[in-house]
Amino acid sequence: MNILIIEDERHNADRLTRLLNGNFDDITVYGPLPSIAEIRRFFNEPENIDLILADIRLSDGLSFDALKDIPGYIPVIFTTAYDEYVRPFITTESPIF
Amino acid sequence: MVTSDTSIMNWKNGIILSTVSYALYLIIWLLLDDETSKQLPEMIWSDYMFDFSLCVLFTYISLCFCYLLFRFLPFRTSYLWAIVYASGLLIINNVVAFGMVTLFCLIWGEIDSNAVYNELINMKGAYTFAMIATFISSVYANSFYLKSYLKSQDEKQKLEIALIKEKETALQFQLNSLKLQINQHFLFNNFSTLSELIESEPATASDFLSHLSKVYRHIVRNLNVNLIDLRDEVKFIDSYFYLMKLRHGEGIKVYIDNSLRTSGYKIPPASLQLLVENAIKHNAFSAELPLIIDIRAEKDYLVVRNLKQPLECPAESTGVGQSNIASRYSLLSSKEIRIEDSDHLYSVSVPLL
Repeated sequence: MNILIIEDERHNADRLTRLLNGNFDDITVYGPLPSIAEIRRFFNEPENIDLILADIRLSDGLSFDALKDIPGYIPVIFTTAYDEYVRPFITTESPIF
Repeated sequence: MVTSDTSIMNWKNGIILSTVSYALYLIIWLLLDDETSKQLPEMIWSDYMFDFSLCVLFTYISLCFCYLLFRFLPFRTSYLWAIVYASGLLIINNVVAFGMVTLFCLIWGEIDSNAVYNELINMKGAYTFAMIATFISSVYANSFYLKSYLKSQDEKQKLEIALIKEKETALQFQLNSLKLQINQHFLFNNFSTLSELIESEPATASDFLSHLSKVYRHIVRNLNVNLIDLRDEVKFIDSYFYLMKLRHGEGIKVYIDNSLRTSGYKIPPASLQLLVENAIKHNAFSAELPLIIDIRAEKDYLVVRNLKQPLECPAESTGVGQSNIASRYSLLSSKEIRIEDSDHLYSVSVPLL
C-alpha cells in the first residue's frame, strides 16, 4: 500500500511515518509534502497512491486547495489537532475520519 | 406592599392608637371645654366606654381609609399629597361622624332638620374625636408607609449592586474563556511535536517540554491579571519562539528589539503572543522564504510588523484574537490599538501602559 503524507511540520511527519512503519508491514510511505506547491509538483507525474494522510494547514495555504485538483479518487484522512478547523470545509468529495 | 404581619390594620396598633387618641381628646376636652367638662366626674363607665369605642371606630376607619388609599394610589412623599391624604381622611371621618349622629337620632330621637343641626353642634365631641383620631392615625399611617417605602428602596439598591457584581463576574469569565480558547490549539499542536521528540530526540524533548511549561505557566498565572510587565511578556515570547522554531524550522524568524527587555511599560498578558500567532496564521513561510516578524517600541506603542507573504487562499479569520485584545484594552485604557494593512506590510500597534 502506498501512503502519502502531507505535513509541513517535520516532527509531526516523522511521528506519522514512524507509527505507520512500526505498525504495518507492507506499506510504503511517500513525502512528507510540506506545501501546496509541492503537492501539485508531486502529482504532475503519475503516482500510484492508495491513501493520503494530510494536515490541513500547510506552510503556504490549506491542503484542501491542492487536494481538490488531484486526478482520480484517493481517500484522504485529515490529521489535525483541532477539529474545529475541519467543520467549515467538509465537502462531498473526501471522506473524513 | 403591605405584608400580613405588619399590616396597618393590625389590631394591637389600632387599640394603642385609639387609646392615644382618646387620651388626647380627654386632655383637650378638659383644657378647652369648661362647660361640658364639668360633666366628667358624673360620667359613668359606660359613657367612657362609649366614647372610647367611638374613638376606636374613628381610628379604624382612618386606618382602613389609609390602607385602601395606599393600595390604590401611588405612594408619594410630597407635602401636597400628604395634605391630600390628610384632608381626605378628615372629610371621611367627618362624614362618618355625621352619619353616626344621624343614626343616633334615628334610633333614639326624631329626625328634624333643626334637631339635626343642633345635634351637630352638640355632637362636637364626636367631631373632636374624629379630628384627633384622624390626625393621629394619619401620622401613623404616613410613618408606616414611609418605613415600608424606605425598606423597598433599600432592597432595590441591594439588588442593583448584586446585579452589577454578577455582570462583572460574567465579563471576567468571558475574558478568561477567550484567553483559554486561543491557547488550546496551541497546546495540542505542541503536544503533537513533543510526542515525536520523545521518541526521536529525547534531549531536545526535554528542552522543548521545559519551554512549553514556561509558556503555559505564564499563560495560566496571568489568566486573571489585566496587565503584566512588558519584560515578562518578552521572556515569554522567547520561550514561545523556541517552540515555533523547533516546529517550523527556519521558516519563521522573530526579531525583538532589545530595549523592550528592560522596558518599564505594561501590557495585557498574552497579547504579544496573539499578534505573533496571527502573523503566522495568515502568512506563508518556508526555509527559502522565511516569515520575519519584527517587534519594537515606537513612541508609546508596541508595534508588531511583518512583510506580507500571502497564503494561496487567505486563512479564515475568526476575529476572536484581535477583538479579544481590543476589548481587553477598552477595559484598561482609552487608547486604542492601531492596525496598518498595506500591500506589503502588516502591522498592529498596541498601546504601552
